[in-house]
Amino acid sequence: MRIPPNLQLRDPDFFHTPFDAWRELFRRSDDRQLIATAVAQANWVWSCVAQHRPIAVAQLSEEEVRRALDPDERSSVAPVRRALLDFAEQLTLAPNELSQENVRAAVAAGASVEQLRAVVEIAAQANVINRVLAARA
Amino acid sequence: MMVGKRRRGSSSEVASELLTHPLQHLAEAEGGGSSHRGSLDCHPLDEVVRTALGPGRISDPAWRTSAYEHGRAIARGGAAANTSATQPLPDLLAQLVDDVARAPDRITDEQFEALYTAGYSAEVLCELALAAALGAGVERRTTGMEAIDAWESGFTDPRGAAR
Repeated sequence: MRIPPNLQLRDPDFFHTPFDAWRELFRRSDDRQLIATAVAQANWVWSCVAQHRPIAVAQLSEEEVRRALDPDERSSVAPVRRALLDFAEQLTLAPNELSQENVRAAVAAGASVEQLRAVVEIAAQANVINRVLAARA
Repeated sequence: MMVGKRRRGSSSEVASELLTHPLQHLAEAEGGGSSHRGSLDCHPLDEVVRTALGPGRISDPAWRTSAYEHGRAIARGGAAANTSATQPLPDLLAQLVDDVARAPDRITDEQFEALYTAGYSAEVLCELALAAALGAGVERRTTGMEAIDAWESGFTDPRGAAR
């Protein structure tokens, strides 16, 4: 038995309220659900994949999401989307190796700085949530 | 994207209750506050961290700060965060915090069984896991924003080429 899933609900000020305020800022960002799915997949937290992937599919399509999340097929995804996903995965798996070269590559692929900043926020949020949920029952 | 202004001074209220405020490094690195996009000042994440590490929780705040700093250190590629600035965690807790920080898929039911058997409550484990997770998230956000800032400013980062 891990941490009971309803434990934090006893004190809504603990984590949920401020975290939701952070998450709300980026709720409408492009591809948020797809990026959150990619981060959860990189972290191997399947409960989070199961939460975000169906929403991403509803927003895009099963085919588009499958290609975006499959490393062998990502090359067929639109360059900007591919760049944003690559950036989110780099930040998740090897943040210490992320550099302005990654930014340059993403911008060269057509991503805007604002899109990249949103990806950073979404990936950071997902990395927190993935870890918290992995510790919960 | 615009980020709403948070009232100034609230961080210092918490800082007075912690020996070392967990966000102090940011303020120092930025000369006490700047327009740096990686800063948590005026960002909702600052409130998340202050709430999780501040007073009013069940676990020892020094443990939570250690867990948070460990999460950050691992994301930076460091080995451990049990430095003189943080209080070492007991072994079982240190292992949980390390797994949360490094790879959440490593966490096991058996690990929690051992922690409960050792007398740690679910509340304490939740708070420490959250602190470590926040450290992992905060460091990733900082790293990502710094890389973008560096590219925007044309600064030559030794880790990457200037644009």
